[in-house]
Amino acid sequence: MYAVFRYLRGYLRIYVTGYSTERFMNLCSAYGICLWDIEEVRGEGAFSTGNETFGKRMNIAVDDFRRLRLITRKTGTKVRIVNRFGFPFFLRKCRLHKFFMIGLLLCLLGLFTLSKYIWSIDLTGNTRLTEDSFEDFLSARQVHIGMKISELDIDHFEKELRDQFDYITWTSAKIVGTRLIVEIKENEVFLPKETVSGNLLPPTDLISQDQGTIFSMITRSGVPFKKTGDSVSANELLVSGRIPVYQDDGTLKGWHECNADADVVVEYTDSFRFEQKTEHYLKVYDEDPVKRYGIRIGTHFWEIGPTCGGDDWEKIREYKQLNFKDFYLPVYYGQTVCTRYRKQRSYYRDAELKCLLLERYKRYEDAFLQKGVQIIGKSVKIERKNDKMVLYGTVKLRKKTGRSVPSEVWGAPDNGGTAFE
Amino acid sequence: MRNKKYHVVETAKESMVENLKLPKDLVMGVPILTMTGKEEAFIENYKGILECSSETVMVQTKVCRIRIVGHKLTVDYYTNDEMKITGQICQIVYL
Repeated sequence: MYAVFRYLRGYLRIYVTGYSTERFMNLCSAYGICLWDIEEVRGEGAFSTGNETFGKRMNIAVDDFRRLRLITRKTGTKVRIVNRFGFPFFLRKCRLHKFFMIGLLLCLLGLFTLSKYIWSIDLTGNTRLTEDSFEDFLSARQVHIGMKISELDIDHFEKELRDQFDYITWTSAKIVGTRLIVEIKENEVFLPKETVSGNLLPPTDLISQDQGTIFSMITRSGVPFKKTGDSVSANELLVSGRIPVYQDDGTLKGWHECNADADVVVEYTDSFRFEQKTEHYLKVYDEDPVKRYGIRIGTHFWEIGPTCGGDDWEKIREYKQLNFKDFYLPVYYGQTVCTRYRKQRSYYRDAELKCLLLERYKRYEDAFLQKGVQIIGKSVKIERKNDKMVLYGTVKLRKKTGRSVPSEVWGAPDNGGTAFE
Repeated sequence: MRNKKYHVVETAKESMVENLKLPKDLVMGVPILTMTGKEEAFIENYKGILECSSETVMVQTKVCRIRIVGHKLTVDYYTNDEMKITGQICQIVYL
């Protein structure tokens, strides 16, 4: 610690010669001047006059050096400066490199300023929660890359994330460096939330999300407003969470509230049409790819390398964010691989056209399967028309529907609801 | 006579310090020498330095002189209150 203070104040290595160097040291201590690293020097080396002299080299603070005049006069010693150490002398040397020091200072200031912002947001532990949904959630709450760390309320953010997505049971958001790391744990089984008092949520109704015909309906709680075989449109009520309670004379006494719950499967038909033209253009790569290296700040790119402008170049950019462990910066570095091509006109054969259209149809079907929609029937036709081939038809789908919404008083059901607990 | 009186005073002082458990360096002005192995020596409560070389360091205290003999001796720091000597210490002599 003392070494740090001494360096900041600055000190000198001096060479003391004369008859009574010990008296010099005693007088220094009497005047409160601290000396350190004292060693005896035998005449050779710097300041030697050719005869053997005995002197002492020692360190002394710069401020104390200025007080040596009286002491040297008293003791008859000579003092010479051998070397200079410390921050004041370093600054003096830096005068010759002003712009470098200014640049270094600005760089440090810039880094310090950048450390106050979030430059990376990472989500881990998600399986059901997609990146797009998470990004929508962030943008709705004004959380984005480039925002100030102090503006983000972590506890509030975690609570909102749990409230927004029912299947998230545990969240942890922390800021490490300039990274916002969000860890979540999802629950496969949905459990209804409890309010502070321990009761279930306010009553909810079940409404349809799709248009179609009800294939099956099993009501577990609530009053059904539709039955198997009924047609239903989007946002139409299926099951009400308010059960009417009647008096003995048949008049309405009141409402018993519950969370409407039912398994409702609807059937509907979806039509599709895919076209594929016979004529197409192939990319023919005649030349080897070229690389350009550069950096990106925000949306601006600065690259060096062979030019590859124009529409007939295929560019693949690979950029990484600059970071020192968890300290991320809004600077990206990487390369762009450019390959020149020329368009060559080509024509698909019938078999190729059919293959392409069937691939598109397969992707269309897979999209339904991923959402848990059952395909129970399909009618697919392929036709050749002039310069294209068309694949069209309909698919009969069966899917589970139903979304809970806050309950409203819909009135007594037409099919006569029964009051039950 | 004078020496006898001085001797009596000194003896009384010593017994007072012993009995009252007072610090000797404050009352008697004796030096404190702390050794760490044979490479380091701290000296406190001295009046001044008499000799300083790479083989010998002699310090004047209130009651005696201390001579430290060795090889490659250097004074790490020297202030009014304490000093530190490092090097290969071979002998410590009280004169």
